[in-house]
Amino acid sequence: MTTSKEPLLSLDRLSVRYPVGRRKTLTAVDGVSLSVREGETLGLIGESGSGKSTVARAIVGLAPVSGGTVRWEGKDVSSLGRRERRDFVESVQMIFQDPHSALDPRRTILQSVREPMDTMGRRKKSERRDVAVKALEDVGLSAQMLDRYPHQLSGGQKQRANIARALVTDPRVLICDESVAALDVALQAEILNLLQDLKDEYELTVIFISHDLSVVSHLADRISVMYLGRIVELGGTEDLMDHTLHPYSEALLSAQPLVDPASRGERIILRGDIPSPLSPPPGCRFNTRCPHAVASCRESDPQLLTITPGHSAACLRIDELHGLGVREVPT
Amino acid sequence: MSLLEVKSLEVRFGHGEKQVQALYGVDLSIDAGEIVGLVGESGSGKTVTSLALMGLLDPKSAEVGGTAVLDGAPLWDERGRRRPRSKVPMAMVFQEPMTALDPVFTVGSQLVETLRVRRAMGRRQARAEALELLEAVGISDPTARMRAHPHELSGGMRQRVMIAIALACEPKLLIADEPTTAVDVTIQAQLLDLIRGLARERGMAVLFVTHDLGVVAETCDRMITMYAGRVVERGPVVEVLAEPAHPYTAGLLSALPAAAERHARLATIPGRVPPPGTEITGCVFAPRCSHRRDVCDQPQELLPHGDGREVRCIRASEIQFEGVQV
Repeated sequence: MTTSKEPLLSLDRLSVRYPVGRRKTLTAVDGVSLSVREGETLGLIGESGSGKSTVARAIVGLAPVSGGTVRWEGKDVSSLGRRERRDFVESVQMIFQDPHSALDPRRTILQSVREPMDTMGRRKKSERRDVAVKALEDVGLSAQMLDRYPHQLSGGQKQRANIARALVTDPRVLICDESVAALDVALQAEILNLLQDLKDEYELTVIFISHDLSVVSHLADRISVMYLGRIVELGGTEDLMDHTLHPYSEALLSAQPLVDPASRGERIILRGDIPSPLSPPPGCRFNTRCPHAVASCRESDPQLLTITPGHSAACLRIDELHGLGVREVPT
Repeated sequence: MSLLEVKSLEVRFGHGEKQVQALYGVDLSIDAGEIVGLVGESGSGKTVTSLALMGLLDPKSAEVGGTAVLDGAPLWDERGRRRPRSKVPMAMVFQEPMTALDPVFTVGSQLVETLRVRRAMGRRQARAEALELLEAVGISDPTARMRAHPHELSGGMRQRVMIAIALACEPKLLIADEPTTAVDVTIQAQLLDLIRGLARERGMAVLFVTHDLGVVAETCDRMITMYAGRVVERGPVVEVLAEPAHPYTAGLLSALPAAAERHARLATIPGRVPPPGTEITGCVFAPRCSHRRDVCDQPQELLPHGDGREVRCIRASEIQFEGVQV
């Protein structure tokens, strides 16, 4: 993994706001800063409403950026020239959650997979079919699937076709938004294996968004935990899983149903739902559900601070809860 | 005699030559207060089983065979005539609460309606009972929530309302079909806690349909693995997960990312569940099984495997699978 260079993709205080009704705005993403290093797999987790998908959509331009910047190789994507913009669009591809609605029901699989090249005017027309066939082969779809329509494919095959379509423009970054959430365990395992293989073969950087912690922690090198439009904790996977800092991450970890429940410590069951992003609570946004919240949590808004190298969290009481930067190593 | 006794449940869809069989002789028993998990991939028959018990399959297209006895009374007679649904102490909670609730009525009126129909309560009495039920499922400020329409509630709240409506029927058996699949993990933890609590307090039996073995491990007492419309393994959750006897259960378990080392390749089960109607003479799982031998070509019976366990695999005693310590 390269760390010294400029990050491949970085977000600087990115905000996404939507106007709702008169003089009201919904802040879906609120000042998120994040950098994605070349070759890594970055996991984004959080409940629905946490803004994880909106971050991804803002990166590829599917959600309006209301504040802050998205940088591609150090350059602000909103000021890219035509050629650079094209380059960026081709380099960052996204795979969505529902494999069925992501495919055009009236196009064959081959047509759908070819489409990005057609719209981008990429490669010679005669070559496009071969590239598409190669991509389909790489994702494990045989030649007989080429002329089928989406309804003739199973869920797993459709998701493979979606992945193939994302690969034909030679992307450098692949954003997977809940790409395995709609699949059965056995299929999910197949697609996760496939993503790992493709990552190596195509030298991809992957942003993997999921609400399923077990899936994210299996794939990701680093994990960013989001809550109500903010990043509350960010760190290396091992670090974050074994030395969880933020109470929300702790609760999320503990809520995960495990096949061996005994391996987990005491179960933390959060009360209530995630508050509406229309009216986020004052102070720390997690204070309404946090088991450790005190009066000051309702007043001051914690910033994301580096606690140990490469591991940061946004919690006012981190010193009290975990000891001042001192790491005990539990056995 | 258990609270629910199902014997050789069969379901066929369609007529004549095009008829396909979806369930093959499923036996099932649940005691009062017990939570039984029904697991398998999509297409394995777990939802058809629950719909058949609930009487939600269209009698015009589906033929239900076998017997089912709940609390001493059969759910249908020999000629297939069902007891009126309102007389059967059974309720079901579905995966998607938004589609199960009526969007144009308030939560309160839907609850009150159920109480008036099922328990012949008067308006005032039903309202009081509705408030109590909402409170029982952990909804804060029930008086205000009674006036809310489903879209005003969060996913977790809606599912709680669904559970409250189910409880309004005073069910002895609750069928929960993937009730937590559509909600977040933190909400899932709350709902599982609620369902477990209700089963214990009210002595309610729960048939918990899910594809998530983690949920089974956290919630259920016993589990049943289904494959291609047949029960392939059953037993106490702790023992089955610690030492799965059927290759399919073992496969489902090892495909979970949590069980594998980080970044390691996950075990997969090659192939797909055979579509209903596929003619299979030998072991149903054989085409996808890595332990297949010639003996697997003969039909497989569900055979006892240790204490309180059964498995449909002739090689079960020869093969050892890795499980998890629960």
